[in-house]
Amino acid sequence: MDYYRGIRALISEGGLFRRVSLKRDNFVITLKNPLLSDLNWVFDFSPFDLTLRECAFVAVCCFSVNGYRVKKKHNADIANYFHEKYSPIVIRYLSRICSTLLDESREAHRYLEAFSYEYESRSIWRAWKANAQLGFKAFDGDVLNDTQASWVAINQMEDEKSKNRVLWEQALLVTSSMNPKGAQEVRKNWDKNDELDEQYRARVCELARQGIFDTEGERESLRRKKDSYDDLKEEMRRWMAGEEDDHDRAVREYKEFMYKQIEDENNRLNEMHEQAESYRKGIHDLHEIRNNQSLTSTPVRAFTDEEINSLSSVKVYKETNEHQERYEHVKERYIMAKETSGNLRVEEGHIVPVSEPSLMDQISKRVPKIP
Amino acid sequence: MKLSQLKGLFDPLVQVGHTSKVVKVEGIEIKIKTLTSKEEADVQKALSSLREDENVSTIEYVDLFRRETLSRSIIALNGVSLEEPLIETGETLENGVPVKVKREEALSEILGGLSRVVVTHLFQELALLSEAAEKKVSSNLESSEKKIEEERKSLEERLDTLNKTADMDAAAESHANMRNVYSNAISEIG
Repeated sequence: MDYYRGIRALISEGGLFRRVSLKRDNFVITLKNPLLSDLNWVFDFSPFDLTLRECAFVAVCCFSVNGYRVKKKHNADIANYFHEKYSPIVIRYLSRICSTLLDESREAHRYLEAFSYEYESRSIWRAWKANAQLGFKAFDGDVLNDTQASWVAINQMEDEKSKNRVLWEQALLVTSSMNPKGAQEVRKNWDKNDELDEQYRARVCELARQGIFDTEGERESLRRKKDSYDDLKEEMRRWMAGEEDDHDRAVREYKEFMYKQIEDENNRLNEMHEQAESYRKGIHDLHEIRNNQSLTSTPVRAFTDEEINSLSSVKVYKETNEHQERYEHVKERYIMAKETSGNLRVEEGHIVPVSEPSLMDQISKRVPKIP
Repeated sequence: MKLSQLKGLFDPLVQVGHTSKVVKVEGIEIKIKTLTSKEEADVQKALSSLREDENVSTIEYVDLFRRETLSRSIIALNGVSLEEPLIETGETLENGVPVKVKREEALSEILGGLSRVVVTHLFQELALLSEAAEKKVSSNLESSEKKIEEERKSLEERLDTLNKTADMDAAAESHANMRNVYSNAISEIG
């Protein structure tokens, strides 16, 4: 099924049309979907009389009769004529068709974004511009309908985007001669954004071609892939306000995991250290035992001065554990360190800089000292 | 194109949806026709004051609705045309000018004098005539693309009309039953 049929007709033909004919009288009336301004006029024309309002509704939808165009200036007269002469059965019959056209136009308008991304849309736009440049009428109508107005605005933005791209490329060319690495980095970011945009558009078109529209969440998530200025600003505000997003959660969990690993490692090292200490103590004890002459039945004797001097110069060793120190350093420096927000803070949901005295203020408060 | 010419182009649809027929009631030939949009609106306007009056019963409202509708629907009695907007009362002013009243007022007064059974019968005939006209419109007019949605709307409107008619019939029947009960009670007492 061609879901673009409605939107195509609204743009190319200016509206959705339906013909009602009466064969025996060689009569044909063409009805067109009303515009918002038409509906406003209908309610102004007959604010209270519902029967007359229905006639006015049909009158504004009359596009042509037997090939003759019905002008807007005749709407009031035609409405009164219908009210006076037509059977309410006929009015209701025509009104039903007009209502259906109105519903169809509303439904078709939903495909505007997707259709604007299609090649066909750009092709129609180029044809319009070519007609306008050659002095012909771009479209068959007095004024742009609501959908056409939106479509024109979208295409003008697309044209603007293309122009900006050319200017950007030129600027990048100049930059690359002076700073190739910087230019390359900029191009990479630009290409990444383009790619994301292309992906989003392709997805929107794919869904629209299947007539799917209740996927606002998916479309929103496609949009969210692009880190716009606002996205980044919001992310920073959340971070400064201490709000946790997905990224923060992942970092926190990673940190917790790493910290636990280090703690376990630390505990294991402590155990090893205690074991080593115990061994050393054992060796020392053995040494003591070996040197203890009382235990070897040596008789008590007084130390000589030399012996006393030699005892006082016993070396003291400082115990070190490089492995543990390294882990402590890593933990404190990279894992457990708290982020600081620098000179910024969050006030009423906005990021504001912390006011610091200016350099001039600092200088003015300085007390001169005579050396 | 001039407006008159444009109106002329719309003329073929004027006859579509309008139809008429002769109904015989106790030897009187009454010609009725379907109403125009304006006439339907006039009926609604005539009833608008009653709608807000809390003292008016349902049966009174239904009676007036039928009378107002039929007074605009009847276009001939025994072959005498009543399509002129004004009807002479038969009286004359002092200066000799005949007194005239609006056609709807005159017919409404006449219908007010008829029994409810006759008025109800005439109204049912008009309902049948409207239904026939609707079928005629559907068969004569051809839409370039018939949509299910249009069909659905059409059937919903039709159902709404039938429901309203059924409500009015039920109200009339209920009133008739009560009158019978009342008559029987009086005859038993008498």
